Amino acid sequence: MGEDTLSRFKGELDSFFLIVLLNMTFGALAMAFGMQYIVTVVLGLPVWQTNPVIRIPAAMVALVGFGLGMSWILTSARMLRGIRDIRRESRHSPEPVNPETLTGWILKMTAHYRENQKTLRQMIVICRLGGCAFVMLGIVSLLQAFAAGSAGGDWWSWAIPVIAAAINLTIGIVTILISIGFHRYASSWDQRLKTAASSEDVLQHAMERK
Amino acid sequence: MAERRTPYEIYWEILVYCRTPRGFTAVINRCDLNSKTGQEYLEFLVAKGHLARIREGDRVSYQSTPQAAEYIALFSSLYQKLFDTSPGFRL
Repeated sequence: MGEDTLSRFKGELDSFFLIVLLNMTFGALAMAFGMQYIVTVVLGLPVWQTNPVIRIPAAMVALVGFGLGMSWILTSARMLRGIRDIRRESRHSPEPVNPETLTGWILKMTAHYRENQKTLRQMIVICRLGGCAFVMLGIVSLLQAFAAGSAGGDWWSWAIPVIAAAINLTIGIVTILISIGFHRYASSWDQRLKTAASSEDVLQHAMERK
Repeated sequence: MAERRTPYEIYWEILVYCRTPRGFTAVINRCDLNSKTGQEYLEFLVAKGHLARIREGDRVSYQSTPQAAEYIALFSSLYQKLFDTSPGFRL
């Protein structure tokens, strides 16, 4: 049981580490492209349209987006730090691993999940919404490219929207995949917490036994 | 807000750490407890016979008793089973 449990534990830890790292990277990308998109939209408007009525709401949206993006990245970084410590410990531990050392790591992971359970649920929702928004932006860019191509303009008039569509669709799809990964991780741990709670009677009995 | 650890998890951490005699400060530092709750947990485990209080002059240390081994083994087995029985997560 020990070796199999250890490899499962390490595999899961590596997968979660990777997914949080991806989440942080794509959070930063999403924030950067989101900001750039808003700035481009405002700057791309004809001068007579860039009055404060348009600029102020756009700047506010950009600011809120920036704040959300920053908190997304910082939350991911906090989550990553907890996982990184457990991962480092498990990677540098000499083999064979003592069953109690393994139980200690499992306990740390359990505590980490309890600590981040609420954040993880928020991440699932944010990633889904953000992912869908980027997919929609990608589709809009594709339609722009199609329209530009049909109008028979210069090559860059359709090539730039195609590049934008590729970037937006990649960010969108990866972000949705990250949310699915988080969802699967959370479901797996919810099941474990239920099992752990149901075994408390057995532990209580062992504690009281003299 | 939900607690990070259940009391049973804290008992296990204390009992494993106290396999060799440990002072009060070392236990609360290692198990991340404050003085008040640390004292309560240690008193509880001593009362249940899982920890022995050893006095050497002014110094008091705590050591797990043979009775604690059963709890430690049971806990380890239950928590390792969490990874064997539930559907795992992999990319």
